[in-house]
Amino acid sequence: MTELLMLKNLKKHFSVQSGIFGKQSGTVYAVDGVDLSIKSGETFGLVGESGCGKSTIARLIMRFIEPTSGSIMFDGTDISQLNQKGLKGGRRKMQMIFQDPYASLNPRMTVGDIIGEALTIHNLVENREKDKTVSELLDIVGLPRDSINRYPHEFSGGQRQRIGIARALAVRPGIVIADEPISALDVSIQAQILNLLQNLQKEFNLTYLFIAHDLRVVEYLSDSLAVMYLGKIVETGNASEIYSHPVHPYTEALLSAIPSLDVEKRKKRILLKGDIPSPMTPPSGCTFHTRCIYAQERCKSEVPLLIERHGRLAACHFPL
Amino acid sequence: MPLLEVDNLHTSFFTDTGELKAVRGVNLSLDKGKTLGIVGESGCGKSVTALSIMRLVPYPGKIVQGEIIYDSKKLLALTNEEMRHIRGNEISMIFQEPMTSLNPVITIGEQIREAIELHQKVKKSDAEKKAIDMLQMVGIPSPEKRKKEYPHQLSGGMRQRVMIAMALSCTPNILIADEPTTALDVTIQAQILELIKDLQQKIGMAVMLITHDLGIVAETTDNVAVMYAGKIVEYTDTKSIFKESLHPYTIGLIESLPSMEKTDGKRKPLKAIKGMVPGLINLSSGCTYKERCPLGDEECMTKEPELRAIKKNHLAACYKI
Repeated sequence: MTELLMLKNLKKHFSVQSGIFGKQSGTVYAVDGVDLSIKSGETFGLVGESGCGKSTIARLIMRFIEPTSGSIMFDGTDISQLNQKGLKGGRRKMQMIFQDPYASLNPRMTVGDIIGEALTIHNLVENREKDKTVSELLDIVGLPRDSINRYPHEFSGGQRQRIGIARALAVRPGIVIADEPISALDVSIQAQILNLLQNLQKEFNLTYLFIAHDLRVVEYLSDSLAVMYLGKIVETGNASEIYSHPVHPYTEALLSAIPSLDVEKRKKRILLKGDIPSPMTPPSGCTFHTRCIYAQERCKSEVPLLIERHGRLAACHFPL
Repeated sequence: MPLLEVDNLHTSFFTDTGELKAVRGVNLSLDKGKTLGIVGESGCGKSVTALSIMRLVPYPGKIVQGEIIYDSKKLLALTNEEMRHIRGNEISMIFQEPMTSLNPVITIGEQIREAIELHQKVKKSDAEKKAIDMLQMVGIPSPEKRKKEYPHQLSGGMRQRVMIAMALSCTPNILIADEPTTALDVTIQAQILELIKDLQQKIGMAVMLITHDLGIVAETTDNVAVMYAGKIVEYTDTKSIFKESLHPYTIGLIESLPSMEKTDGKRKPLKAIKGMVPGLINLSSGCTYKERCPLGDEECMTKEPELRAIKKNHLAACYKI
């Protein structure tokens, strides 16, 4: 497998303004030097708690926002350098599925227009062919064909998410970035959408970047995995290896915090102290040292590098 | 005798498009010091059941029928004044989103103090001291300083701690927690659940935990009621619900979860429940789960099954078991 998407030392810092003159009063280090590579055809899981920068990465890859520094290589071209015209072609190969199926569909457009809009913009089909293509897409995501003239409010959350998936698939993308695609859905519907995503991956040879906070779902879907904490990747590698033997203390704590159906089998819970620090004032040294149960003096001063540890990359001075 | 008993509760919302029967005959009982989990998907009536117990059902909702007995008092027969005395003092509730349940323009110390003063005849200075003690108890660092802060200055987990501090400030006998950790991150969720468990043992209160997460149910509850379309479809102790689940809906829910344990390293497709939850206005006759159920047949079409004892202490509402 070849690398389809590579992030190199990607950074996004937001400046915070305050006062009536908008003087810069601080910086949010939302994404602070991220390297990762996603292979063609795999599902890459990106996990972390709120504020760790995982959604910012998605928005950077899509170029909804501009990176502060670093590069985003997609299929050999650096997306971060593309101009508007080049970006149009680039975006065709990258599509996104959003978390909130209620907010991500235009309520005034019919389902046919929502799905067909991208086809028109990218000149993929002729106008008279459009309805046919949209109908096919509806079949693929398991919606009735007569949905084409209906509006989003007529659908349930799960069905809307199917519309969002059909829209993403319409332009035949290479990579689909799914940002918490099932967390707004009911439990019984989540499994339906997960199965659909997996079937589509096989059928269209898709690559997924799957962003979620639900570790059970990520472990089920992902081939590779990256765990983020405060804008940095703390551990990345083969998903099932990380799940069975986490190397970074944060990964270990995160995994142990998942409520399990089988209480007897569950590993001992590691309760982290305190809250996630603010990304405006990240702690010195290893950013996790304030909550880490294994932290030592060295962790307070020296930033750990993301280096090879037990067959994967981890950023920790004292890996497990 | 159980501490709280809900008997044949019916709560409906009278909307412009018709009567929406949110809760359709729920029977529950909660024992002293125990935790009862109520699980179900959105719209199954779990929150409305909780709000009915508190008598806080919002307009245009109304409790249509039924009885709620707490400590041999019929809650539905009490005057508003008497009910106010029970709320917060004897039965407390915490909600999913702590930001919207706290007053944004009053400091957190003040809000907790207010609750204590309202329910207990204590001096202002004593109430203030109690408020600080409560903040300390729920694990808020330097409570003397923190009490002067406003809700927006706290993180989500801290806010939920403040809510819990307020809810427990009058040492209630029952705490109703409606999705208390849904808005929180997993590591914070673990902290809050642990905290509720801890405090429960300290105070000896009963907890009614409403959630959609079966994992939380498995870890924190003694008994579980599974709700679907306004009714309880299965009701038993927590161990049995996972080991010997009976109702096809419960089985479907458990099987649709991706499991952490992989079988021979391969991904099996998830067993999804087909279709979706029926609308609660103009429900068709028969079992509400019939269209989605793998066992559904003729019998399920005509009459809705009642909750019956299949085994000792194990109730389910299904013809096919």
